[in-house]
Amino acid sequence: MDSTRNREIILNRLKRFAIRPEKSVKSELVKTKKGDTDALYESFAQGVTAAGGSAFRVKDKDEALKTLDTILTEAKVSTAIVSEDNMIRSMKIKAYLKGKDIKILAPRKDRASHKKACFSADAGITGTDYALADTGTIVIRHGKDNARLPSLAPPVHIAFVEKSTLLPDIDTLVAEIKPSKTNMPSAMTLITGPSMTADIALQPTFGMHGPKNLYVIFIGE
Amino acid sequence: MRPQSENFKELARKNLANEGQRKILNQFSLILKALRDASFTTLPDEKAALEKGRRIREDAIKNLPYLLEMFEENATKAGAKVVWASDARQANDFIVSLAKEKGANLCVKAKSMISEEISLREEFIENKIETYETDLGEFIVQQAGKTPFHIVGPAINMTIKEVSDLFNKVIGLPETEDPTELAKGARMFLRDKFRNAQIGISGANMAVAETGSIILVENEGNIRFATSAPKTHVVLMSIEKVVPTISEAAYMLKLLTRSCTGQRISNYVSVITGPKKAGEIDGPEELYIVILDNGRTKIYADEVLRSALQCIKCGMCAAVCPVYTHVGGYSYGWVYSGPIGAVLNPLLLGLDKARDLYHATTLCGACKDYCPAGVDVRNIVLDLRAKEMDGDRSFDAEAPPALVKIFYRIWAWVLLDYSRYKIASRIMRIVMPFVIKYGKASNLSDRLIQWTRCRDIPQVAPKSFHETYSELKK
Repeated sequence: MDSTRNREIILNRLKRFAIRPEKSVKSELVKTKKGDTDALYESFAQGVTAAGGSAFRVKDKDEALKTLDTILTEAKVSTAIVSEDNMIRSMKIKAYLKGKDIKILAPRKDRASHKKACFSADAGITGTDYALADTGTIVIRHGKDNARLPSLAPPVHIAFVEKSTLLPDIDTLVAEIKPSKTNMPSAMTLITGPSMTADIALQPTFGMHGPKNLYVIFIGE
Repeated sequence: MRPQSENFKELARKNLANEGQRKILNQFSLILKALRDASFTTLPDEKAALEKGRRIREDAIKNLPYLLEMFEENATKAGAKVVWASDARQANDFIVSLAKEKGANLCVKAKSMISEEISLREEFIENKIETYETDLGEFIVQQAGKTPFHIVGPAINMTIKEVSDLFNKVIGLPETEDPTELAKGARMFLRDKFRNAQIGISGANMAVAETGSIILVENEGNIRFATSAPKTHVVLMSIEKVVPTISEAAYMLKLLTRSCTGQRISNYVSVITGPKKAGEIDGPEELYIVILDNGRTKIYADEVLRSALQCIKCGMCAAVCPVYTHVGGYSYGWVYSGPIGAVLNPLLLGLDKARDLYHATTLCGACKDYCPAGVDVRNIVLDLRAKEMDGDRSFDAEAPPALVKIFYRIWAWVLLDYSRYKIASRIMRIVMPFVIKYGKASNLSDRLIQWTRCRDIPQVAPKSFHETYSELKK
């Protein structure tokens, strides 16, 4: 197959009937509406719950760790994979978990051991980059310190959200990330509730391929 | 899959006789429509939203080649390898040989209509690469050896019992009436596949020119697995999937998930830009994007038909279609079903291979009213019928029999002139009583008037309106 030749043929055929874009191809960035945090959080928590997850609001990082502890006990977690992102690091979660008898998997050696750890852990613990109040969505920009599988492969996903990253909706998210040809991460995931399906007789079922339970801990009053 | 759209009438008759399926179809479409309507109330103005969706898609299609060039440039900059394929054969050959080159013997597939269109999974299996559909509905369809019943709910017509029997047979799951247990069975079975597959294949809901990103929408997490765990990720997309910017993609996303399943947003939305970057521990090392034409540049060249390329495959048109909700997805005989299938199947297969599809419509236009991308199916249907009557061979229309053509010529000649019309109706008054039963002419067996098999021609009134009117005036 000659891809270059196909390309020429396809584009030339189309160009006979196409017109050039009139305006420059750039995302429209809406002005960020600064909403009242309490109202935004209310909507966010409602969205998380409606999608089958659970949301908790705590006043600071210490309290966040206590909530984490409760969740881990309740969900009977004994092994966990922990993301390396800034939020997780600043909270010193690994040190905290070591004191709690939770085994942390995946010393980030290589792809294979990372994968193995993610597929066998009871829970994945990650930070988030943004949260969207409108739909109860958390947003993770994946990268060097924020792998893709910890929020996907384990049956439980626990995510921390910082108050300052709570945005009203997806339009403000676009304005916040200012998309361009150079600043997109290799992958960005918008997560709303745990994994689900309704493919058998339209009956909603949680924990299809991804997590069965999603816990979101929102830090800040 | 082998197209069977030629057999629409036969398939439709068979499916119409399936009472159980009709009950499911009825419920399914009512529920879906109710969910959809409720989700649209969370947008400020439904009409304005649909109008904006139409404009975004229409403009994207107008600018298509320029957006594709931009998309290619930016995706390449991000590290993706963009490949162009003209037809199904080329795309299949490329992807199969790529998989072989990577030494792949296990492949996980995300749901993609375009891969169904080119039978990619079958090609992989023929080439001894173990391949699994990973969307639960598609997994069921694959294991049952069937075809998708609906664009969004591929196995929605199957009962819990049928799925339970199937899973018992193919993955050894104990029989159960709990859909959660069935889902769990599929989860456990596919988990190992995700973990060990060397190659993941997905479609694309949207491709963004501005950034070179691919956007994938799902609820199950299987797409995230297929695009994160294997070392190679292949995106197969048709040329019309491109939108200009992330902000426009975000807008279409709102309409897509609402129209698909009545969700304000799907559980997962992945925005993928290039393969993993240096230092990242998961995500594909290589990302291939195969841009496939497969007959679409030809559709593009026709001003009326082009609108079909605006479709974002939400499947809503099927749920509101009086034809689909009776005959179901199998009757369309190929990948695409419902109103969009009634025009896409003929356009992609040739009008002569799917002639009945664009004739079996009521022209009610519900599909257009609900379409978030402004596809005017009714207009396309009329255009295809006109092409057929005109003997336009550009999409392989089979010209109608000479007798039919003559009949329509005479018909038009009569109707175009009042005095001719008057004479004709007088003749009908005399002729009709000979073919009439119970005041109607029905089920005339003559080939020319097959039309009456499901419609009645009423007896012509003894006096026309004009005659009555002039009598009364006296």
